[in-house]
Amino acid sequence: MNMSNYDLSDEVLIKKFQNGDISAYNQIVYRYKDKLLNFIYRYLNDIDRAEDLLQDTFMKLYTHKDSYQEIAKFSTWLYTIAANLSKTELRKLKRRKTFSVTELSREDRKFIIRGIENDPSEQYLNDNLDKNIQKSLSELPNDFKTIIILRDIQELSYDEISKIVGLPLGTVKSRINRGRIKLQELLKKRSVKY
Amino acid sequence: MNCHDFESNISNYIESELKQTVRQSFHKHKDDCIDCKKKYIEISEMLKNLSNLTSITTSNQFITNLNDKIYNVDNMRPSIWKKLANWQPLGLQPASALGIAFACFLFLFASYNLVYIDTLPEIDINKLSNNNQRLNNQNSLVKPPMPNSSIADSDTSVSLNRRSSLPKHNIKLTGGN
Repeated sequence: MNMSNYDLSDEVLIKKFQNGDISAYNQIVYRYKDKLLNFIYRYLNDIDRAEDLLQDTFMKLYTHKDSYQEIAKFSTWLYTIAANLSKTELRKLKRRKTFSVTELSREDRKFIIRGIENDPSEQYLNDNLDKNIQKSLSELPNDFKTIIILRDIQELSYDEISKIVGLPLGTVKSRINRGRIKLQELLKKRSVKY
Repeated sequence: MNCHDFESNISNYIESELKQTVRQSFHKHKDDCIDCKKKYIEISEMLKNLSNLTSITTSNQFITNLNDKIYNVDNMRPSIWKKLANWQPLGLQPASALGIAFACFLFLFASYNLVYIDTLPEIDINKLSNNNQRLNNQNSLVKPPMPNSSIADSDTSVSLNRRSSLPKHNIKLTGGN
């Protein structure tokens, strides 16, 4: 039976790619590009950097395809690459404390161009809520932030998160709880009405 | 259940991971404590909002840029280290080739030492044979004893003559001719 790449599991696709099938790589890229972009963006709070980092993630996959062994889920492995790259990038960003218009996120730019006062629509409220959540997320300590994004935005299982961050399941669970409480407190400070 | 326990169990409650007895005490505390109930509602709402956050998609140039990067990587000349790492002389793995090369070097080094740095004393065979020949010649030149002299006298004279005529040798030969 000849199955198209669309129907194949991640593990089969990476195996095909390891054997030189570039179409399998393309399928992986299409399958994960938006999920990973959201994860990296929520972590870095900068859409352009997030897209650059997503490219780096896929390049790592391209150049280090043979590093993957079928002892872990492929998605876990890919998220681990993205998480490590994001962590490194955030450390670099924290070292450089410069701020310019080019460093504003896509959302920020959209926000500036439209103007807050002239748009009291539902979209604005949603944008504002989104923005507040994003700002609060960026204020969370990194250990909590990664786990909260993976669990509550990416909706990964505890087990997968435990493998990605390399922590025991119990630690992950307690960090999720504490992270949620911290995030809620940060949002409250920003006077977001729920 | 107190407020602290309630707070540490909020996520487990939301994820339905509490045991029946703990769940019941959680419920009870939630109904009794207004602050805790408020906290629980706020966190539940926040979680709903987190899962409904606007999903971002990649820009139109993303795939093009990625393809460009892949093209550059594929057409990049490999570095000297990469070439060395991939070098397979005679179809051998780099580590095996390196091991064989090292073994060859050791063999050559040991052979050189054996051939050129020999600590045994040098014996000049020609010089040695010349000295022997001279000695023999001198023996043949010794005069025979006088007929009127006694055996004892002749012996003494011969031995004296021989001693005085013998050349001085640095090498003392033992055994052989």
